[in-house]
Amino acid sequence: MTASTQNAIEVRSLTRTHGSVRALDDVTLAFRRNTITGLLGRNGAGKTSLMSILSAQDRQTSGTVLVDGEPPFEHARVVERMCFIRDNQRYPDDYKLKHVLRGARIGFPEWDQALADELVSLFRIPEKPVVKKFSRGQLSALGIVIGLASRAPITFFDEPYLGLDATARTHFYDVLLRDYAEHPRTIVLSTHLIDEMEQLLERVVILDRGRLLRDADVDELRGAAHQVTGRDADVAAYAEGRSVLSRHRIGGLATAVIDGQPSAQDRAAAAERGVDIGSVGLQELVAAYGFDGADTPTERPDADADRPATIANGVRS
Amino acid sequence: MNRIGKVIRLHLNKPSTMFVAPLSIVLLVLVISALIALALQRGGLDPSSPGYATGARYNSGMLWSLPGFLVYYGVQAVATTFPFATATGSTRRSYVLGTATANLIQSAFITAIMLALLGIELATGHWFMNVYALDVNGLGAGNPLVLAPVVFLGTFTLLSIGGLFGAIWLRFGPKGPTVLGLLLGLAVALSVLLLAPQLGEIIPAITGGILAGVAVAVAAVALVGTWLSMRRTSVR
Repeated sequence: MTASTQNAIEVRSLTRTHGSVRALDDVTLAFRRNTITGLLGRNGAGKTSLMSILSAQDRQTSGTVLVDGEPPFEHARVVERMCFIRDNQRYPDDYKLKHVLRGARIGFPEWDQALADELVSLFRIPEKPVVKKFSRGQLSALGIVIGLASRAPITFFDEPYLGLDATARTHFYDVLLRDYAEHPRTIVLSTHLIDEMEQLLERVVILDRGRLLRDADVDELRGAAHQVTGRDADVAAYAEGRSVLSRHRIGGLATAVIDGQPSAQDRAAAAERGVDIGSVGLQELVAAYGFDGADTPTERPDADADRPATIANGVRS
Repeated sequence: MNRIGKVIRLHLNKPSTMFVAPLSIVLLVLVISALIALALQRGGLDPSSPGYATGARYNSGMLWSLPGFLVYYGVQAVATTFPFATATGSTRRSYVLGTATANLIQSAFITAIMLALLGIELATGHWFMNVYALDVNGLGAGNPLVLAPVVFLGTFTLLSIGGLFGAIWLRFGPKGPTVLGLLLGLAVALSVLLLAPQLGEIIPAITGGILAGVAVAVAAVALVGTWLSMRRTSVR
């Protein structure tokens, strides 16, 4: 299988600007066919902008996007193979559940009505109110119903869990995995609930401030960093000369997330300084990337200045 | 064609708004026209008098009953249906063409309603009680060959204008329709100002053919404007 057939989507030097803001900045990556890829990063990282451009709902400022080898924008044969329900998806005025499902069925030739009915029942989506009156969770559930029942060869989910209760989220994960196993397709989903959804993901793309930080298998990323814990001075000494992704200090103790797998040399250095080395989960890694190497704000920057002198000196008046 | 057909089917997805709402409005205006006519007759107006029919044909209720709904429908067909259509696999080109075709279908439907009601009105001697709702001057004074193009072109033009405002909103946000409305109002006011000295000659010279031509031109400009706004717009 060549790279172009292995990849459903290829992106080269993609940039999207809104005035002076660079929503996406020179992003180059690929989404593998028939793979579930998690799109991770802080708010404003560029996740929704990327999905909008990939699904032809927006157009890039510069760069190349190829979906199934073709530019998607206004390319009907490509666009009709994709489904992207936004987290703030708008529906026609006065649409009720039945109108939305009927409308989606018109758009997607592979639409599975039985699956849609099952999901509507699992999520307890009401039939009578107009969709405009739906709660946040009901809107998310409706987006999931469309995304899964569409069986679109390329499906995007934009934070599909917003407002969903724990039971509904479990239903989503279970049905997604079941249906994906029966009908493999390319799924891209953005999420902040990384711990909860990690089991679904095969690959992960991490964005920050519009730039690509990582594009890798989940297993590869799990070992992509390590953390050290110990006394503040010891951790600082260990971190010296190493690439620190984030540092968390409280009292005289500190924890630092360091880029890269720990080598034997690293382990020896840690032992010498009396700091503990541990593994970093995907969620911690993504959070660490978001800190830009800075310390986490465990104290207000101006805490000492604002505090009354008696308290600052440790004596309560 | 299949892709345009999908957009048409999407617009036909909620018949209660596309077909039942305009039918209800027309029937409501008919009932109100009847109530007013009966009230006038009970007040002493003689329907057999020579001037009754002439005066009754100035009833323009039916003429002005639908424009508000049609412009709203045109706006929402673009502003809120478009994001759903693109989410479910439509291109902008298919959407604009499918929406224009759906507007033609809706125009034909409303024309058919009006023609049928005119037929009933004429066949029943104006609803058995001298009620003039469709046999009115603005709709051809009982001539179906005038009513049909007036209603069809009027409906299509209003839907297209609504679509243009919806497309401008999608492309430029809330300020877009405001600016467009101000510019259009300014253009109309300036035209009237410039042509004021000749209005006495221009107005009597306006024929049905000219009005139809203006309607077609306005609809065409609105459709082209809709396409130009939407061809690069981002879905929001």
